[in-house]
Amino acid sequence: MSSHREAPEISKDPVADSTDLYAFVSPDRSDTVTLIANYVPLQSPAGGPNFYEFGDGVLYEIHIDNDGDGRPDITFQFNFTTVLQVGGTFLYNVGPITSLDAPTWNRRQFFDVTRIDWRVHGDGFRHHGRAHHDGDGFGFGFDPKVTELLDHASCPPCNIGPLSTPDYVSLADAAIHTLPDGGKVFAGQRAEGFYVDLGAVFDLADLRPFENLHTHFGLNVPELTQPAPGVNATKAVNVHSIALQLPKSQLTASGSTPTDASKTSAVIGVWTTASRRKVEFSGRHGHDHDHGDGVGPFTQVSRLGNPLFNEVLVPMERKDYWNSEPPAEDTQFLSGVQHPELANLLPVLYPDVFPNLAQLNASGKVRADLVAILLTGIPGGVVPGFPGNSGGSTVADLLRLNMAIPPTTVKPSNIGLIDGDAAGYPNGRRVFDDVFTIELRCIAGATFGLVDKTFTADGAATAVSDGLTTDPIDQTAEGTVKYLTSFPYLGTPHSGFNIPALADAST
Amino acid sequence: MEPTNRRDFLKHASATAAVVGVVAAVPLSLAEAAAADDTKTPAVPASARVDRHVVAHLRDVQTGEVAIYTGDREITVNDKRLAALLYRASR
Repeated sequence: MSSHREAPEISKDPVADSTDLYAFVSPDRSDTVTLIANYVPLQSPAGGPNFYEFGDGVLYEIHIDNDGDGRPDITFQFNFTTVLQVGGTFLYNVGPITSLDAPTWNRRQFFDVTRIDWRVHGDGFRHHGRAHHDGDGFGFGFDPKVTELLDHASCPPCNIGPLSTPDYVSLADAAIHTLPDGGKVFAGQRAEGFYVDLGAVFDLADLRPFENLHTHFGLNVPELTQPAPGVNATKAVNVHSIALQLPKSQLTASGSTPTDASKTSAVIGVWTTASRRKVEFSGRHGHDHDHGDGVGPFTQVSRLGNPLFNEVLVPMERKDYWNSEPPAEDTQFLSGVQHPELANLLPVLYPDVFPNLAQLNASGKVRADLVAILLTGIPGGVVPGFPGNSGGSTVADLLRLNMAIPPTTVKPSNIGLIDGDAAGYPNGRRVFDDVFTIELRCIAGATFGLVDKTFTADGAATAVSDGLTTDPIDQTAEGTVKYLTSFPYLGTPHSGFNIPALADAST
Repeated sequence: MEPTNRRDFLKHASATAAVVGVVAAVPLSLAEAAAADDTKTPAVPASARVDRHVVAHLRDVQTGEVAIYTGDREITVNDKRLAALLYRASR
């Protein structure tokens, strides 16, 4: 998946498991950028009575690098608190939830938002931890600027059904909070926006539209002898989103709004992390006072920049280690990008379909195209008409966005930049971008010709997909809930009442 | 900006904390430490209460390295006597 359950250990800790990260210039407020970090993957909408929520013991963060060094210059922290306000019942709610302060809603969740500017005094140090805790401060001889943006804001409930959440859209709208200086924030359940044919892809890289060309490992499997449409494995699940919409000027190093797309100062690198305390308690501690579930500094257990990076390019034995590392240390994972395993597998699994890719693999050439797309940003001039989104040469898995490139409001392409839409992935990522197909095509060699003019991509490299969209402007992958045209852009979560009872997941 | 990375920073931070928390180095062997007079309890104000979780992680009983976790902090101390006491209590 994009990053759902992408590493063995984090797959056992879903509330800390980042699934997708989006960063785009807001199409309806082009002076702002929207950042969305998703957690808690693959939620079955009917999964009550303990419906899904964020982890109280988890520190969620969205980081911004605005000077190209792969290190955070700005961090937004999100801390959650869960409250039982009815008690004495096994139920999530004891009547319809008609407002965010409904007394019938038993288990509620609130959150705080803190902004940290790390370079206030120019000492170069950055500390990873929760701001303002126990009065300890940072205690390491430096003093980043810490700003509490929001305190005790309400999350919406999960979308349960017509009796419990009769007007879900209104509840969700009420949970969009205004930040100082013109921003917005939302934290709560949304419909999964990422689409992928997991069932086929993880069945030894079967791509249903091309499965008749798959080697089949010599097995006689009659149902694989004809091309078939893709099946969206995430069409009926929800996710929990942390969404921010901020004026661009609040994300740049200079504090001004970038207007010149040729300037590296217009580029931000974004990633999200989840961290847990080094020491956590289970069961009763023997204390009368509740000071949380753990002690010690936070240690990172999940991170996400580009979709599918850890999923596809890092070997299984290193995935959880990758999750614990900062992007600025990603040189240690460079070889997995320079010589990706999947690029070697495609010509083997699809004989005679990728002959040029096979030759490229055999040549041992470094995949400089993938290094630029995923680790350094794309310099200006490499992609015709694209001013670039490289903030520097630092090797770091960041979702890089050139904020001076305006949003594409008329027929944006779900194939993004490789289809000529400069506002789409890998220049940031929009909710509808078909990132699986984009990265599959890139790995298959579709972009190598940009850095090596002697290379001609296979015809299949620019056509291959998992078959969930009909064309580049299709935003209705099977069962995908309609995206919203305004913040928080990801669709209304599937109702537990409807899913999985109804076959049509889009309702 | 001074080049740094998180790992180096954490080393720096740990070292700083260790200086604060270190007890005068006492070159005791484990046996000597265990046999030391442990009735000499460090002075604690009569009003002192444990109002937050404090967790000790005995990292190396020979060097006396103990990590103390409390609040947001991880404090490394090098105290062979404390390490020996923890070791003995865990047996």
